[in-house]
Amino acid sequence: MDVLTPLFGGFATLFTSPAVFGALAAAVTAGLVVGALPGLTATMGMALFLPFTFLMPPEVGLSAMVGIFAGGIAGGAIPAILLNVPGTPASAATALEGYPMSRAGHGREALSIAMLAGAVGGVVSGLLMAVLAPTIARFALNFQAPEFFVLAIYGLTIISAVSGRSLVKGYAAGLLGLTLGVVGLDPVSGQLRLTMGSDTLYGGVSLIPVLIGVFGITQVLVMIADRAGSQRPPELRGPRWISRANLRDTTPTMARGSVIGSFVGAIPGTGTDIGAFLAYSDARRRNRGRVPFGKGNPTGVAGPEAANNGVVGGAMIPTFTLGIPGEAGTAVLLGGLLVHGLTPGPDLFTGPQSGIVYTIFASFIVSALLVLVIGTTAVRAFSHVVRVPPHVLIPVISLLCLVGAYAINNRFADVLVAILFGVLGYLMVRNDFPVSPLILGLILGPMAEVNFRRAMTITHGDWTVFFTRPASLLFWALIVLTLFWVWRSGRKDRAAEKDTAGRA
Amino acid sequence: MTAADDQPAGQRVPVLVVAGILLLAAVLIGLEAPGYRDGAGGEPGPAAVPLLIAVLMVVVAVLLVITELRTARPAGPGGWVPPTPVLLTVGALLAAYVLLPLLGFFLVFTGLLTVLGFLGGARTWWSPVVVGAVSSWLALLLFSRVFAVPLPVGPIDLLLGG
Repeated sequence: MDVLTPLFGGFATLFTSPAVFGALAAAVTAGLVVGALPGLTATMGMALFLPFTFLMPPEVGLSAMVGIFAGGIAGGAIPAILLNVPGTPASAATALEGYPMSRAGHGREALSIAMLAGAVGGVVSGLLMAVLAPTIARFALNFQAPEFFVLAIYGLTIISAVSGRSLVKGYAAGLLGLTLGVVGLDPVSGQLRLTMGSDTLYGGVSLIPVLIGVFGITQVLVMIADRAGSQRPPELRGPRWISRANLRDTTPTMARGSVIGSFVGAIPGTGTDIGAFLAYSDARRRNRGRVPFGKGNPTGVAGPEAANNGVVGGAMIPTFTLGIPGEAGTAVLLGGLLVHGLTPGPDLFTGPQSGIVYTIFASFIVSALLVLVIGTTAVRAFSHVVRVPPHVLIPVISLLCLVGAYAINNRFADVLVAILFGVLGYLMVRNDFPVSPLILGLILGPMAEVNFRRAMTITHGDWTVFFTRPASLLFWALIVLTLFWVWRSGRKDRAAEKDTAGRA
Repeated sequence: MTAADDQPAGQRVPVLVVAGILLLAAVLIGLEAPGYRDGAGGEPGPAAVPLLIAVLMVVVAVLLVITELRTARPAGPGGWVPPTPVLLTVGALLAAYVLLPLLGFFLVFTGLLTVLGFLGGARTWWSPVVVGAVSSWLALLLFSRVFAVPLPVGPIDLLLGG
């Protein structure tokens, strides 16, 4: 009850404030639109919206950000099901059964299943987050500089997990982020570092213009390079509601997918796509439903959609409680917290700002339900969104990027930073360099450095402090486990590639 | 699917350039960081982390070169010089950044968005102009009136309500 009381307070704020609820509903709709547009991701939608949250009260802006996150992930199912083009990486697994369902004349039903599963996943992970986050935060209140340093190092090992096919390229991107984190006034000694004599860099490289650049302007450049004509109109056929038989078949899959997604999300470095594919393989293994897999089995839509929405809530747990964003979406959300002067970590759950945190949690749970209501009632409108031509989208996204970068501090220099990081992001994407490590390095580098030097100052240079405290040892164990997992996955991937090459 | 499909496409040059940039950055950090003041009580000072990053940069640069030279790389979309429309887009964005304080919000954004509309594949001349002008005007009203962002305004912006 102690855990639920603040959550009820969050719901009370949400439902008694028309501004918060209105912003949430609008954000979920906007998120569904962003997710429905092939190529645009929830992360990009959040990055575009991030500067504007600064112009709003924190509970309004941050609730809207989680609304875009939830809507964006759920909206990705629309083009995946109707066009076999996943709107976001999270929806790639959904397309495997969703598109065959659509081809078989059950597109509307598949979309309804996706939206219902997304709502179940969101609610389950949201409740889990609301229960677990305060508990973890209470535990983390005992952390001091040594624990926070090892925690930041754990966060940085996630770079290995999000680097995709090339670990070395991921490390290169991560080092770039770490270097950017060093630029400016040293928070411990007040020494200016790596500013190259520029007054603009005294305060360091701002996170928000970098996020806008690598997620927004990079996307504009990718769309310009890959521009294609408008998609052919999708066919939206079949019954609108889920049949009783399909509802019976998909309900257990949704429940399992929600739990899988929530736990996968809580592990930094995993992400929505991994959660969705795990849930898909779970659904396939259990083989429920009346249609064979590959031909449009509804449980193959329900599982991944419940999981990828579940991942969002799970991923917020380490972000809010420990300040460790597990992937790009939560890194942007973390940027939103920082914009409002809220430092993610255990202290967020104590003191006057804790009310805002619970309003965000309540908003996430309600946004899952709004996804269901808005997604199913306006499904026809969203199906037309996939046809918005690039020559309309590109100018609008560019406008939001540039004005957003400027609006955060009313500084032209931030516009230039966004453009330069957009170009850098484009070159990275085009040459197989992952961009998430850059952001993780920029966010976690300063956290690691400050706590490392604080710990060394307190202990007069005694290094053993990082290895003698129980929580530090736990994080070292997690670091070893993460690196082992990355090594094992890499070995498996290489073996599979060799096998494929051998067969070819 | 062939084995070549699994190999990264593109050219070696960008990866080798990145390795070169990492080495250069490591050298620059290595030259600057030793000049920082030491920590007061013998603990690591402000130079410690930059120097550690510089060492890691050298290691990663060497690993990048080794990995790259061991990778079979067929020609593909990755490349050193981006395609012309991308270069034109970057040019338009930079031009907007330079012109914004001089010409004001509406003129610059209408021009920029029109150019981006054409680069985005518009088939008629009027559609990018309409999208550019209407979006810029709405953004001007929204940000200057609703969000009170002090946008750079010229005479036209004032006429349009900015």
